[in-house]
Amino acid sequence: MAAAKPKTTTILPESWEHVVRSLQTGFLKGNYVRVINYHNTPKGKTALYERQLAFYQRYFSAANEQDIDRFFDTGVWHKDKPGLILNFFEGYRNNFEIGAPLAEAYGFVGWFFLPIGFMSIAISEQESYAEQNDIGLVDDGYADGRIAMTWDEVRELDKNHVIACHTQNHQRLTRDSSDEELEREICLSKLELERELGHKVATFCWLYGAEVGVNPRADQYLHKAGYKYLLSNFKIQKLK
Amino acid sequence: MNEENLRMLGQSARALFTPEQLDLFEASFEKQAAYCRSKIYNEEGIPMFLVLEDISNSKVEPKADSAGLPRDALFDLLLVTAIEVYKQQLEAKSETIEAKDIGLMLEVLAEHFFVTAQLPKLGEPV
Repeated sequence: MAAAKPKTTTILPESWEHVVRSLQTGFLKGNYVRVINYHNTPKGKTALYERQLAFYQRYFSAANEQDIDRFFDTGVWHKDKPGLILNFFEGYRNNFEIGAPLAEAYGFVGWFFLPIGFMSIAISEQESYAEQNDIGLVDDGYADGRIAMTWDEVRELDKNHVIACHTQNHQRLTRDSSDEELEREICLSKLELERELGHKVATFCWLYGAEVGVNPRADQYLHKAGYKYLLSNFKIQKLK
Repeated sequence: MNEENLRMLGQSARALFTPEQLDLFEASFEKQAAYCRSKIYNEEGIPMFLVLEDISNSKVEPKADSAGLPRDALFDLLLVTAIEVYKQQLEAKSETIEAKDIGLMLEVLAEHFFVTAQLPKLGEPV
């Protein structure tokens, strides 16, 4: 009998009531930012993205990691319009070709969350890798079959955007994730990303966005790796 | 603020609205929740709020005198109240609330309150 597919939902670190109260506490103190979460950004939707970004540009300002540092340090958003983060998950080629240029055209900073293995795998294996690792695909019609960004494209984005680690193989965190998995998905992925970029990486995110407290061993690995921020489904947690 | 105080705040903040307005608010939650569930996550940009939480050992108290965008405490309180209303909506429908339900609450919150300029004035139906 085939093994049951893992339940594809986020594990909460504590009771849902407590999570909701912690969110209300954050809102009450004004400690929150707005984000737009993107996955694929196919060419066919360009006009829609452009219309939305033109709207957001009227009300919001870009937010990079230094802006978030300052917000944490001062408790005050320092620009004249509230901050807006554009998150792009999975390292799709269409994020580089469509999402990033649009973000730049409208004055925003993208936070690109990369499952490192996806960037490094041969083009001929990218589709099957995506299917095996819960990376959703769209038909972009690329003749060469490449669906992930290249490392050169990642380095190009790194000049104006935030590059963050989204595990090695697009893994979700469980309470019993092994130490070997945690080392690979949290630490080794960071080292590989930093080797490609030539500088430190500050931000991490799990598949399905688990937060601190779900697995104390994972939290230790996050600290060991030296991440500053953990982006989860509901929060940006400052770790150091 | 402890959990009990926050619970009381969330409940008392409902007093900002009349029962009729709360009914509208709750109906609006259902409508927006259905809209959010219909989104294609793989291709659409999904607006959300993320709370900033400092759990570092070097946690420092924010500098209150820093210059920047003035806080809108009333708007922040409105967000707390909205979550309380959404939470009660979810509790009325299901004994078990999961992470995806909390995510849905934040998506609906974003649909309602992402742009402060679109905020209804207090006392007007939402």
